[in-house]
Amino acid sequence: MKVTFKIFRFNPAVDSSPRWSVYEVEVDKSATILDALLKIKENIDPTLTLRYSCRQAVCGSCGMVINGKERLACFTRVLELNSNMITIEPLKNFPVIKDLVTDFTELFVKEKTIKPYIIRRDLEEMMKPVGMYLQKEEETLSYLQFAECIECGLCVSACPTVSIDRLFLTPMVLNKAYRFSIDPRDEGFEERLSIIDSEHGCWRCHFALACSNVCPKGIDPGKSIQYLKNMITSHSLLELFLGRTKKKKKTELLERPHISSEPEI
Amino acid sequence: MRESVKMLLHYITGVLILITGAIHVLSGHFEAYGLIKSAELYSINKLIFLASILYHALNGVRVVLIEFVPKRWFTDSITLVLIIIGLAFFIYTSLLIF
Amino acid sequence: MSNVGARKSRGRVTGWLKIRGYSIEKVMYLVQRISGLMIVGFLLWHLLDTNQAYLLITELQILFGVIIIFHALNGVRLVLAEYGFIVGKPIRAVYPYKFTTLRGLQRLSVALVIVVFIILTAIWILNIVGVIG
Repeated sequence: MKVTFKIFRFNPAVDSSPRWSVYEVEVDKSATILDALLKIKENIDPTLTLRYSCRQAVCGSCGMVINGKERLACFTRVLELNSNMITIEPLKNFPVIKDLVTDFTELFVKEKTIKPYIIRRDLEEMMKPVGMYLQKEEETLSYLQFAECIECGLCVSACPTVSIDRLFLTPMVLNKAYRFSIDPRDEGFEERLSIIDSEHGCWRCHFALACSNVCPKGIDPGKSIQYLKNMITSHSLLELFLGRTKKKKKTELLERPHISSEPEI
Repeated sequence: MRESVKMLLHYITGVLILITGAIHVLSGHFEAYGLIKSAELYSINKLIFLASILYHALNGVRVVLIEFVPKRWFTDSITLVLIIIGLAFFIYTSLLIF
Repeated sequence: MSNVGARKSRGRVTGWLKIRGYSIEKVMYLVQRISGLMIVGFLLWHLLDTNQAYLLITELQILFGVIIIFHALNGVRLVLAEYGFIVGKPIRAVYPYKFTTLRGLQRLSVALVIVVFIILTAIWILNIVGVIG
């Protein structure tokens, strides 16, 4: 079947404004958008630039706006779109480097500010471990869904707040903040609080659910951000009125004496 | 004040507006049917309504503005400006009520 | 740097108006915001204009009644949603993915808001026009 592709082209070294290129490609039932783009690059126009890696929705490199909605090129079949004319643009709310390739630098800077890793205070235990932190199923379930993020940037492109507020932390980063704050092994919620609870933090999410609509991994950032708000509010209310904070349920240490007998270096 | 407390107040005042606003709009009906006839109660209700709605409205404006102008200096100064506007409106209108 | 001369990010307020392909919550977000700003304008007018002659104009009365009803109903739903009461529990992300925010209690609340909004709007308009009340 012949399908027409209308693709956003922009090369900052040559062009002063973006232009559109139109290609006709023969696709079969199983072809994904990425297959079609590579076919164009190989057979018709080698200057077409795109970023991809794994071809199976794991790496999160090939996010683009396909027919007006954010999708992974490798995760979308051409014929499932049911249209003869397919428009492909780079992700919105990101600077364009070339053609369909966008610059994620700013997003990763924001991600670093919320400390996306497990923070612990027991230095002694970390240096000389005596056991393991075996999680129960409900402990794992509290964060497992939100840990699947592949950082493809689709939610950032879809979010109506990011489109006007350049300082907003973005759904991806807030989801990450919740994933690590709710983790029963983590003790760094207070350290992240000053960033998440700021004017451009989680309260600029207004539940438009555009992020949940486009997420290719079933993470539902709209859900985790609302839980983050709940967590922050109960924390700051307790601090304001009682002057103390709620004790978090933690994963218990299962002592394993044989671990501590590590070989000396 | 933390952003979470500001937004909690935003939601609390929103619910308060629903209650006091309903009384404010229906007060004419109440008086006509002779259910509640207390001018002071209506005035107090009006005062709570006024304070809540000013907070809710101006905080809403603040939220929209700091999203539209994502600059540090603007984020820091807009709160003060809106507090002054809100207080001015509150004093002006509460003088009219009493 | 590799991105010298790169264009500024694409898409500004147009991100608000991009509705095709997204669910109804995004429309409600847009309407909530616009109605809120309209109510602020109405409020300032109401506070400053003490003789309130505009209250006699039927169209204005209907318009402000309708947007206040929507803003209030959707606002209640948003308070419940934003504190995580109706968005569903965390589940395993297994393909085919289920989004608990886009189904279940949250969707039910959206339907409820719309139904109650239509009923209250009908009552309000009929009341103003003088059919009932």
